[in-house]
Amino acid sequence: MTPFQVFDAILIAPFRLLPGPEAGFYFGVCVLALGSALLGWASKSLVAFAHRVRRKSEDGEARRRSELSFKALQMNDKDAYLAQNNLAQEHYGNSLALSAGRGAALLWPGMIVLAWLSWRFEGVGMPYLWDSAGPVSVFLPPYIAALLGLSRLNPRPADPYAP
Amino acid sequence: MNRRSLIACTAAALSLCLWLGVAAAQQAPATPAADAVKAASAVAGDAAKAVDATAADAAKAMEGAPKASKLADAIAKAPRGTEKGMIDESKPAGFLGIPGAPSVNPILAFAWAVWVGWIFSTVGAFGGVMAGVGHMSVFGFGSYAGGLKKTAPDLGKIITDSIKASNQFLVGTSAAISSFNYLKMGRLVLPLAISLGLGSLIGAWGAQELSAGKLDFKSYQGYFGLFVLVLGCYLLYETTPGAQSKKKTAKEAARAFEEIVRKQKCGESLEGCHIGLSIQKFTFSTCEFNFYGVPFKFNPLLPFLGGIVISAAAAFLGVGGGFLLVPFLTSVTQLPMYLAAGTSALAVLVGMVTSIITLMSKGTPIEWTLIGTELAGITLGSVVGPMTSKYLSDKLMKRIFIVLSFYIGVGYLLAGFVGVKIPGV
Repeated sequence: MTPFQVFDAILIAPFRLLPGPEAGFYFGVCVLALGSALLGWASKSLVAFAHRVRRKSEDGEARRRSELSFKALQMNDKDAYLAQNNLAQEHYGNSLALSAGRGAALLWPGMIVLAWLSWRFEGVGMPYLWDSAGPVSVFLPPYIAALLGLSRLNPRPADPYAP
Repeated sequence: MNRRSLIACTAAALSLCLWLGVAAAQQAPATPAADAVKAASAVAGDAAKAVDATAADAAKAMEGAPKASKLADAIAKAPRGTEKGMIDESKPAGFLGIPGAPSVNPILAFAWAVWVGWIFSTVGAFGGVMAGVGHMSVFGFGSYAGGLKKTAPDLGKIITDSIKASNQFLVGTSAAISSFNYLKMGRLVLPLAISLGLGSLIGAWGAQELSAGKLDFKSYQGYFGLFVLVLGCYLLYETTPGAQSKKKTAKEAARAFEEIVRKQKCGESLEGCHIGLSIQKFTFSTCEFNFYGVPFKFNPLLPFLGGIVISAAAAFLGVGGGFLLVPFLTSVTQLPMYLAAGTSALAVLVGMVTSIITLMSKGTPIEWTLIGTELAGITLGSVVGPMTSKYLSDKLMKRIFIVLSFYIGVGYLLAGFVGVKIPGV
């Protein structure tokens, strides 16, 4: 058995759990959506852990500069406000670039599953849906719902300014 | 509207738009490589047959006939043969399932993406440029699409659009993750988000409506090169004595103010005080709000127009645009960075989603396997980056990327607009 065959056998397994073809199909898609969202969250956590020192530095500095810009506003010092705001923006740019890694980590399993679904069900009409519907149309709603659901389970919002 | 409702509505609206957009876009599966499918079915064995049959039974309306797609039509129109710019049917299917197109080794795609992720986590936004370089030069899609300019222009343009969409997928991940974080924290000025978001939507949609299926690879390469060259010039400018002294002056002013704050002992933390953002007036020509008791005023048309221009440029080039939006917001509207960050991330996300959906609705195929592999590579690169960056000097890295920007920028500009190719690009 090649690695691809093993991968294929794993992904196809949930589609065969229920007896009805339609139910089996939608159940399989939902299981894959949840599984890829979970794997994505695990990967994202790993990347966030690897980035913790750099994020602490960049976000901490952006936060400090932001606080100083607020002070400048309170003291009606517009020049100081603009200077602090500009420095905060530099650190924010670095922080934004760092988040690309977390975004990629979150989404890669979903894209791999999408690739597999597109290949596996190419040309096959989706049960109960319109003719042109494809695997992407079926996979995206449960996948997005799973990602949103998992984000709600996280009690602490990922504050980019958290020290 | 409270924060929770705002988050729920925004998330639901974005998700619905994404789903509806993709559903509308998915007029046909965009992989015409029948050979590849047959081979894959053979590999998958019994399980494949069982599930294919199950799904096929459930979808009686489908009739089992392969659906036509823009890509399939373009392939059908392309001349057959073994010369450059022709479809060689004796060769295996490559990128997007086109026979004879470059087939990317997954290890190469993964390794290049590790490099892109490494740059994102160490140097910054230049990772987006490198993602584009990967698609155009390293994987060979660019030279293949460029070779089709005279023989099969439609096919070349579809490949160009697919390259653009793939670039945007890779660079847009940061906007996706940041938007939801900032939404959770409620750091949005709603009127600004509406005007900027609407501008981004129109800009991205307009750019793809006008350019999708019309832009040949050489022109795209030229414009992308111009963008990289401008980026390189900006990076170089930042190292000049004039820019350094300007920066030094600003830093000194900031430090002087910091000193005053320290002396006045009024440095309580952000959490301890009320941010006090309140919208006073919002009309088509004026938005007034108070922030920390200080009145701010801007014309909502400015972010709207800025959103159109920046998103259109980003969608046209297949880049993110966040690096332009934040400076635009903080300089034009003088909005605090604390609020500009969330608003701009959301605008980038709106622009990116609109751009990709518009491309897909025009029949642009996406190679999901490649995107998934690259995202996995970026993930690994992002983990490795912080571990290795401590061994490299920031100054040296900046210099290396200035040289790279000039080399890539000039190379793409020459290749795209003049037809002169320099090694490596």
